[in-house]
Amino acid sequence: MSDSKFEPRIVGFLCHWCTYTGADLAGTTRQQYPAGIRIIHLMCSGAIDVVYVLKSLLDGADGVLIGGCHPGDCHYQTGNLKARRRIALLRSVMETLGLDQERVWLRWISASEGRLFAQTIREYDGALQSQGKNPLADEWDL
Amino acid sequence: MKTTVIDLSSDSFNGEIEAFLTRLLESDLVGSLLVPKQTTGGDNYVHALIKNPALLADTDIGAPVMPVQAARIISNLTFRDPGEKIGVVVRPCEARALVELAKFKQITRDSLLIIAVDCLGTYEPKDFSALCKAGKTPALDLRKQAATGACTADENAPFRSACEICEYPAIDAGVVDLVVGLWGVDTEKQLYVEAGDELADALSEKSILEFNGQENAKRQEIIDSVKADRTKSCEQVLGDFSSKVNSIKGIQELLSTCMRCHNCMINCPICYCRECVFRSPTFEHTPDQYLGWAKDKGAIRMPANTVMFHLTRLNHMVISCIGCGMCDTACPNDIPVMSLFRTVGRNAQKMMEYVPGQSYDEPAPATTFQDTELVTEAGMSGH
Repeated sequence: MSDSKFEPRIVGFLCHWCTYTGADLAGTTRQQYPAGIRIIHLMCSGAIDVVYVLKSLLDGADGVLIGGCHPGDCHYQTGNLKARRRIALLRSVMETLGLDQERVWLRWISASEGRLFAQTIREYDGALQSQGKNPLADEWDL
Repeated sequence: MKTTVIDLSSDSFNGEIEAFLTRLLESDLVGSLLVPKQTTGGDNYVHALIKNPALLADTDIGAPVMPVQAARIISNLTFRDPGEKIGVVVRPCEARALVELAKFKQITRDSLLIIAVDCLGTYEPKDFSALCKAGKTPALDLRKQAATGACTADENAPFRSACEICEYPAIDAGVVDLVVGLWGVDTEKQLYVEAGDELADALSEKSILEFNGQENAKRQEIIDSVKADRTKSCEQVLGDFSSKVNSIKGIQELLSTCMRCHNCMINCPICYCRECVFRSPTFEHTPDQYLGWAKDKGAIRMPANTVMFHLTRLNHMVISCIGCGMCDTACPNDIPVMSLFRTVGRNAQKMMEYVPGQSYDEPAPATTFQDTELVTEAGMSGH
């Protein structure tokens, strides 16, 4: 196994008002974090439908990160709390079906938390390094 | 709540019900009735929307077959106010599906007079048809067994697998308007009905049905014991099943013969979306997209997104899954979809502390939230 060379691919669904802006801040303040994240811009974490998360995982993404505003800070009042319900449900479904729940992360990162964004990606990257490659990446029959 | 026991002359159960429904339809309480009626072929019962009381002939409110989930039909009839009250005869799983559909604004509860009938079990439509064609009387045979609660399927046809593990052989009168009880009732001699006070008074006043206040002590006792038995088999069946689907390999084996016909979705009473994402432009991919995915993985199953279809459907509706098993009935390749949904559903429903079909007042979990909840479940402890 050449695990040392394994670079996890993370799909990040980030909300416009907080985490996406936080990611922007991470860049402008020159925070270092692994390059394996591919960011998809959403207006709100509450706009996430599990179909996008599942598509990412079944196509072989090693992890999916959904980033939203801290509770109470949602630009649309409560979109993030609806996202939390949806992700809790998704993780419950995944658990019953023996799929790795830790491949889905929901995190609150505000627009001013560029450092936290970079730290979260580093942390997720590290966790996925030890989890290894998403086994679904090699499954054709899905 | 008011109750009544009506004495029947020799086995006139269907006749008495038909007379009651005729009086109801002729009254101003409803403008039409939706009742299971024998098809012209004689080997099936389908819901008929009846305006002319003469056509209440050959109806059977307890026919043990469910070719279509009535909640779907009722949604078609009442997603907008139909302008009149429709009396609908449903079984408990259909009544429970109506509760869920009301929460998604897919039915107008106020335009319905819901008559729920205790369910003694149902056969697959093809099995029911075969029994009828062999000259048997499955509806009558079951009704005769209801008094003792020992309702067993015909030797030549099992009940639908969903019915075998159904914990809701009867529904609480509070969720519907009127209940026709069968469990514990000697249906050759008696008819047992429960209704809310207001409706009971209206029915008495209009001489549609007298409520004499007599109760049936045995009914609840038998329902409780049927429930206990079914709960036990349910635990057993779903316990066995969950060990089969707790890996991607297990899921692949389960869905091996799926041909993505969407029948499970089309026949599911809870899958109400007029346009499912899987039938929308989101899933109309271009040739180069398919080829790109095939290149990435070396090969992809076609039609694409089979596992994703089922996983997405699980996420979208499993919280509200009432376990009617129409997905099983609809699957042309006998994939145990119901077992999958109930296995996943019982864990998800437990997490959300939600019992689908139980109460109109409880909001559907997807439509609500609390400020501080599900932190651990969403994997956010310490974050």
